[in-house]
Amino acid sequence: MGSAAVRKTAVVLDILVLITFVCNLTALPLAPALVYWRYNPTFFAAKQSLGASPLSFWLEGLSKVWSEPRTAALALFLLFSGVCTAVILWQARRVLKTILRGRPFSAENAASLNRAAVCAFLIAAAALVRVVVSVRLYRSVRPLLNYNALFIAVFSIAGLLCLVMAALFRQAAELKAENDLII
Amino acid sequence: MKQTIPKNVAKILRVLLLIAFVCDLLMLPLVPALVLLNGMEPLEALAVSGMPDAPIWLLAIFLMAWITVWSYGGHAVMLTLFLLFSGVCAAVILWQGRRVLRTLLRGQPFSAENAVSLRRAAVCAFLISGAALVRTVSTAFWKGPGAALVSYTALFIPLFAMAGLLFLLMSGLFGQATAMKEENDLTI
Repeated sequence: MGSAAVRKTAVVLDILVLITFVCNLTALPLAPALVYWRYNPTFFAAKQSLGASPLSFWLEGLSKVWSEPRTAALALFLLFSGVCTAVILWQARRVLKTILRGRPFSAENAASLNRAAVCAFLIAAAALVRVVVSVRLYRSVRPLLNYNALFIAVFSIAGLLCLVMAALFRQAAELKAENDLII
Repeated sequence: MKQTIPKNVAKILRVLLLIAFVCDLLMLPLVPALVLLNGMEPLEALAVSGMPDAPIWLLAIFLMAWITVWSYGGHAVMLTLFLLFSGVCAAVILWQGRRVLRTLLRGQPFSAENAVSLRRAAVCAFLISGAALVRTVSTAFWKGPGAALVSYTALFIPLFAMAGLLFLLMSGLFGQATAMKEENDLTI
C-alpha cells in the first residue's frame, strides 16, 4: 500500500471520525434527559399526551434525573464516558492529521495515543465501578452479563492497544530521525 | 536512548486477546440454541432448576438447536447466520492481532508480515460491517426501518467499517515503517 493510498484511507477515516465526534458531542447533553425518561415511562406517556414540546421534555429530564440514585449514576456514567470518548476521537483526528501532512512517524502521535489510552482506561474503570455497584445493589450476577460488563474488557484492550501503538510510533519516529540524519 | 515496545503491555494484551479468542470459539457452537431460546435466561433457569439430569438436557438442547434452527423462519436463520459469520470473522481478527503482537514480542515490529496480518484483519472487519448491513436491511423489511436503525446491529456497520479502515491504515503505515527500517539496515 503506497503513501497515496494511505492518505486516501486517512481522509475517509478522518471524515468518519469527525462525524462520530459530532454525534458524540450532540448526544452528550441529551443523555441525562434520555436516562430519566427511560426509567419513567408512565410520566413520559402522560406528558406526551399533554402535547409537551421536546424542549420541556429535555429540561424536565435534565433537572429530575439527579433526584434518584439509579438514574443519577447512569447519567453520570454516560456523561463521563461520553467526554472520554470525545477525547479519544479528538486524539485520533490529531494522529490522522499528521498522516495527512505526510509525517506519520512523529513523537506527537505517541503522546496523542498515550492520552487516548488513559481515556480508554478511565472508561473501563467507570464501567467496572458501575458493574460492581450494580452487583451489590441488585444482589445478582445479571449485571455481569450486560453490555456494560463487556465495556470493561473492550476498553481495557483498547487502552493497552493504544499504549502499544504509542510505543510503536515512538520507535518509528526514532528510526526516521536516524534515517534522516544518515541522509 | 532508543525506546522499545513495552513488552509487559504487549504480553498482557496478547493474553487478553487469547481469552477473547477462546470465548469467541466457545460461543460459536452455542449460537443456534441462544437464537432459538432468545438469550441466556431459559438456560440459566434450567441450569439452576436442580433437575438431576439438567446437564444432559442442556446438551440435548444445544445439539437439537443446530438441526431445528434452520426451520424456524427467516428471522432466526438470518440471526444465526449473521452471528456465526461475524463470530468466525472476529476470531480471524483476534488471531491476526495475536500474530502482530508475537512479532512485537520478538522485537521485530516493523515487518511485512504485520502489514499482511493487518490487511487480513481489515478484510474481516469489512465483512462484518457488510453482514451487519445485510441484517439491518432485512430487519428493516421485517420489522420496519425504526426498529432496524436503533439496534446494535446498525451500530456495527460504521463501527466495523471504521475498524477496517483503521486496520488498512495501520497496514500501510507498517509497510512504510518496514521499508524505512530496511533502508536503515542497508545503510548501516
